[in-house]
Amino acid sequence: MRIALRKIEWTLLVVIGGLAVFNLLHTFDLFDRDTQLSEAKKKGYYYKVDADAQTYFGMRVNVDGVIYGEGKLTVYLSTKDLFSVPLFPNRIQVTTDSGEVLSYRTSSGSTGYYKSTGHFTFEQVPENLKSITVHQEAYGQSLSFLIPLEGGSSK
Amino acid sequence: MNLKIVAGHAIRWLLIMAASCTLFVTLFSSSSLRIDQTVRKALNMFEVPFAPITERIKTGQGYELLQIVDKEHGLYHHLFVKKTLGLFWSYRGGGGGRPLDEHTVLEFLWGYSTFGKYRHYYAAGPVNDARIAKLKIMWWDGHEQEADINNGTYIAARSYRIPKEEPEGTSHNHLYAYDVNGVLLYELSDDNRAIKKEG
Repeated sequence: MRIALRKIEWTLLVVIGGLAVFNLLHTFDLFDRDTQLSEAKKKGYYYKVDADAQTYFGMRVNVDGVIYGEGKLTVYLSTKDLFSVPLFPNRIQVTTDSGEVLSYRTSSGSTGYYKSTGHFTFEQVPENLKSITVHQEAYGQSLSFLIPLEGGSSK
Repeated sequence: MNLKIVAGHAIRWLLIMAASCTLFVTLFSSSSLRIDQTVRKALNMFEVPFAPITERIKTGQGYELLQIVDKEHGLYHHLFVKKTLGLFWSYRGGGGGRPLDEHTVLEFLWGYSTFGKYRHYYAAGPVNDARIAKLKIMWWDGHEQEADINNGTYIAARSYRIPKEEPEGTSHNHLYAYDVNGVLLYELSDDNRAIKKEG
């Protein structure tokens, strides 16, 4: 009786535990290799962003970092929500320090337990920008992050 | 009883519970026990504000079509939901963010979502003529139904079992608007989808 119970427990643990671990891979950034990110860090184009999260349509959104160089701008975002698979913003806009509004060319996002991440890539971005504002507004709700781009990038 | 054996059982069950909770969250994150919470999550996903359900229509196979009219922001949405495991309402499809255009007298917008072997059709749009007392929809296969009119919009839904061989030819659906005396006011179809206000 006890041996059979142990066998059931181990089987359940392996199956359910295995599925859970598989679902958690994205949360703990295991096997997430972003070659674009590591290359940008080597070239010195990566700017780490340390900001407070903002609430937008039930999402706690935050900007993690920005890659800016060679005419391209990539904004990395993440949303967090404990005990849930958080939603990720559908679109964002970027306004430069000279008032120019940019539209993104490509975007990518993936959701997971507790944390969802993604990025938006803008092309034909003007050079020597001092700062950008990442923002989105709809029906009275908005998010806005001011990101300085001078003073060199962080590794 | 041997403490080590009991501890072994306890730890294993604790881990099984924790893993089950994680799986439960990933599977049921967009679902909820209460239907308006499911609506809230779906509308957040569309990035539109929350508004209460205007109308619920059962379309069959456990699915329901929800119509949400947001007069304050001039939008309307339709969502398909289903009660999974007999407890949780889950969002299964639909569209949102359609504008409530007050310059449109009547518009015939229809579509469908496929769930398994059934297509769930909906017809919805703005209604801005006080004379219209009855709206009838004639589907391509001869099925007729009356639409519910409220809050400046109408809604009708049905499900259709997809046959093994789809009949050839295009599908034409029609919308007929009648006044209180049964006089035909407007007829809309795929070729003539909307009637706008003059001036």
